[in-house]
Amino acid sequence: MKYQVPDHVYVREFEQDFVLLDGRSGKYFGLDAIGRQVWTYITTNGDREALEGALLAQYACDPDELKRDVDELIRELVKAGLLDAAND
Amino acid sequence: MTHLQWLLELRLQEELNFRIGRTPTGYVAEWLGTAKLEASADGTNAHFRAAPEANALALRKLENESVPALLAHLQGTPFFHAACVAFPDQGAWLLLGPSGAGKSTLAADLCKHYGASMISDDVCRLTIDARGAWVEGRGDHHALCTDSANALGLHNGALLSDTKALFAHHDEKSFVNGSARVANTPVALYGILELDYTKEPPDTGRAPEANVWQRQVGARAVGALLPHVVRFALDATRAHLRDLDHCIAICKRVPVFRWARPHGLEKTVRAPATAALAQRLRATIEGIS
Repeated sequence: MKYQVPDHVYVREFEQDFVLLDGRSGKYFGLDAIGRQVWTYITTNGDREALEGALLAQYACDPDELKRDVDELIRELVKAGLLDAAND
Repeated sequence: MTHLQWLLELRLQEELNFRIGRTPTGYVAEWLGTAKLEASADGTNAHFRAAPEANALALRKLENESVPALLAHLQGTPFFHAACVAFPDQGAWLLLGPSGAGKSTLAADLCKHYGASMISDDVCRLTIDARGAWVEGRGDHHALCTDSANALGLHNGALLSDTKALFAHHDEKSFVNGSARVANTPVALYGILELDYTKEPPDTGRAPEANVWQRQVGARAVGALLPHVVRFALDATRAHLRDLDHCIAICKRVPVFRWARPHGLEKTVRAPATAALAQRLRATIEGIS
């Protein structure tokens, strides 16, 4: 599933991380290198299989645990108003 | 009738202490029982009014530090809530942390015992140019809680021996006035230090870890600095974005560290923790990163 970045959310790159700003509230959030990779995948092509494959190739982890962690991160981002489910 | 919407309310011991509001044309800041500041959204047409019974030193501190900092935010040049000291052969260290984190106490200790100069204990302006980042203090009143002043051997109304700085009491704070060592010109910013306390490991009965020193990078570095911007335009997206970009630009130029030490004034003042920190601050960045 693909997600889109709402108009009120601004993304800044700093070193390996992303800093996300909710321009309405002034609240900001940090994404580390892995979170940044997840963000980039789901906001560009939305290909979960490709994302999980890429992460599994880089990090030695359990595939089910990885899937749960990615789901959890996306849930948190949507809950914080930083991502919307894309209509297409 | 003027429509006023309060955007932020801060309480001290349950009592409303400070608030920021939005009017149709600008912003209002109110230090309850002390003063009120009103200004247009662009920082012009500023009016500062003292409450009838306001403490003169508290007012002077507001006029010198908080008021210019709030107005500067509307005008696009953010200040930061931070203490700042400089070592003669190195540059300035910005000390960040929430209220009660020990910024003022540590700054005073570093000045009194470790050869640092006081730049500010509360509000600093950070600027950037091609040569690096620069810091500038605003006020000439230094705030220390009574316990800190006593632990440092600085008492109300006493002269700080090597700076001729006067302490005067106001509620739970003491102010030091007119320190000769306050730097009033921009000083090169050498490092940023986020102050924290180490926590006792749960259910272990062991003492908290002493003196944790960590380099903060990426979003953590920005996240250490950004909450300390003195904000007035709390509802303006453009200001939020500008503050974020300013903090990132500073973090690109200056390393950010986190220093956690055991809680308790008696353990930090004139204790090995402060001495160890002073040594680290004097060391080169390459040596401590």
